[in-house]
Amino acid sequence: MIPRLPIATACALVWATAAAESQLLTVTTTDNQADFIQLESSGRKNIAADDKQVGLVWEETRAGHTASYLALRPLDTGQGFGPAQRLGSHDAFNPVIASCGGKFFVAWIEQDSVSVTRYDGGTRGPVVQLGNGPVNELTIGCRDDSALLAWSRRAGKGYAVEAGAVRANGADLTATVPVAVASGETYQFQTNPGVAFARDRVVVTWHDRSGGTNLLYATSGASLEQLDKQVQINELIQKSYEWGSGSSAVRNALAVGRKQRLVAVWLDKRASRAGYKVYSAFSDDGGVSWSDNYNIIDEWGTIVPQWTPAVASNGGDKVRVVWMDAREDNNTIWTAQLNGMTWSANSNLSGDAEDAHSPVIAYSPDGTLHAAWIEKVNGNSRLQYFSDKD
Amino acid sequence: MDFAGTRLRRLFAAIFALTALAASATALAEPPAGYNFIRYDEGLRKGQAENRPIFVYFGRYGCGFCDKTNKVGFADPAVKTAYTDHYVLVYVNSESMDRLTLPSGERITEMQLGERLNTLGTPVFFFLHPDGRQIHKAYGYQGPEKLLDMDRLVQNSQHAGINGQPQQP
Repeated sequence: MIPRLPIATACALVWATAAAESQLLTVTTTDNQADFIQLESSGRKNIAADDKQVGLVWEETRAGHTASYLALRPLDTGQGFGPAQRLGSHDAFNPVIASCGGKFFVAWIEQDSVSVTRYDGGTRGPVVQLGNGPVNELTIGCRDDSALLAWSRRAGKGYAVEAGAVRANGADLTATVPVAVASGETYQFQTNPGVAFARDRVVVTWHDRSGGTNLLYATSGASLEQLDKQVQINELIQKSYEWGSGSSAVRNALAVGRKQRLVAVWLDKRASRAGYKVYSAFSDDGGVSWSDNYNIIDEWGTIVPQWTPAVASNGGDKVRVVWMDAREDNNTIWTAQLNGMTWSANSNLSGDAEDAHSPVIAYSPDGTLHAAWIEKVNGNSRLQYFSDKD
Repeated sequence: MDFAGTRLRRLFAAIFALTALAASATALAEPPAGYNFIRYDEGLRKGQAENRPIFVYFGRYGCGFCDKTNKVGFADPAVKTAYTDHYVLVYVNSESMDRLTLPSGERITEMQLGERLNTLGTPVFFFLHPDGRQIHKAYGYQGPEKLLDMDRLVQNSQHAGINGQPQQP
């Protein structure tokens, strides 16, 4: 309750209160231990926000099979999320969401193809299909009226990453013909795609183990039809016979920060017998070249493995990474913020949660942080949402 | 003709060598050859249906200790007989995003399974009761003697009816 004060003082107080305010909401919860909620997608794109709404997509099994859902939360009313809207009518998994121009592009995997739609003010548009074959993983990015989607599908005994665009013209959506992002002969196991738009280029990342261990690659170009030769993002630590083919890099996620700087984060197996660490690299030229690799995990987190990294930016000064680890015995959500080229010390985001996992993250343009994760409470799954004026 | 024949033989030899090299590179840390390893979810169902203990191998492409365990430990004929006779054999690619359906009905990726079981690295080996309860867990390279020791331990615990820890992925 804000007391009556002179307008300038009241405004300052409201701003100060808002700046310090954080909110923790339960979006949905299961009441049956046989039901489950999942936040799982390639690049961890299950949450997106603009200056008016935040959108969250997840999958759950309460319908008796795997179904995907979307919930929207208006940011100006202070209310919680609206009712969950089901995506697709069959088994639907790996839902993803991206925010562009005040609208949300939403996609998911259903019946071996990618389904895409757009929500305008909570109203759903038509659904278009992309891809052909057993699609396994899906990610999304967007710019203006176009969404960029990439997925991994089975190809022979391996996997291929394909990418396609969906353009909005009024209420209509038009899908382009998907393209392969790399040679299937050279790269036979392309999985875990990430996509972004930066410096007027489309950027696609993925990892591939054709060389004996998983390596992280990027390709970029003025359009999907003009993708350049692949570049390797992770530094490969050559190992001895005992250590095998070298450090692997898996589960990459992308964000675009200030001055269109690309930030890639991933799980890296280099030099650690305590499992994966979260590493990062930057590109200032739209994915053509990438920086040295930087470890995000501080010394307190080195003794445990990290899992499920996600990264987000407001396109300005905010870049933040989240992941799960159990450095304090319980599974909890941890985060670090980028300051220039230096990552902050790691801090806990999930508070007193006893078993939290699968974090996802997004920013509003004004720098408000939106995060979500799953908690296990008495055997049931709970989808938690957290926001903070970062 | 002889010269051409020699060149042809050399060419075939070179192609064979390159093919073998490529095959060995891509085969690194797959399940050991000659064993019938199956998916985790399929293995749990089979173990329960046949009332047989389950041996779970968490591996990773590029994992040298997995490769060494395959080439030294699992290449031993006594190991092959014991493990083929005694267990439903399960292989999990710990970096795969392929989905598994757990007995609870939950669908998670193979990598998430590693996360749930807190696998620090690879290889990791789990011995499970037919109902999925954990009997024994071992990290790192396992030579033939160690694999046979673990088999004896697990077989004895089975016969003695020793209860394992619940496995909660």
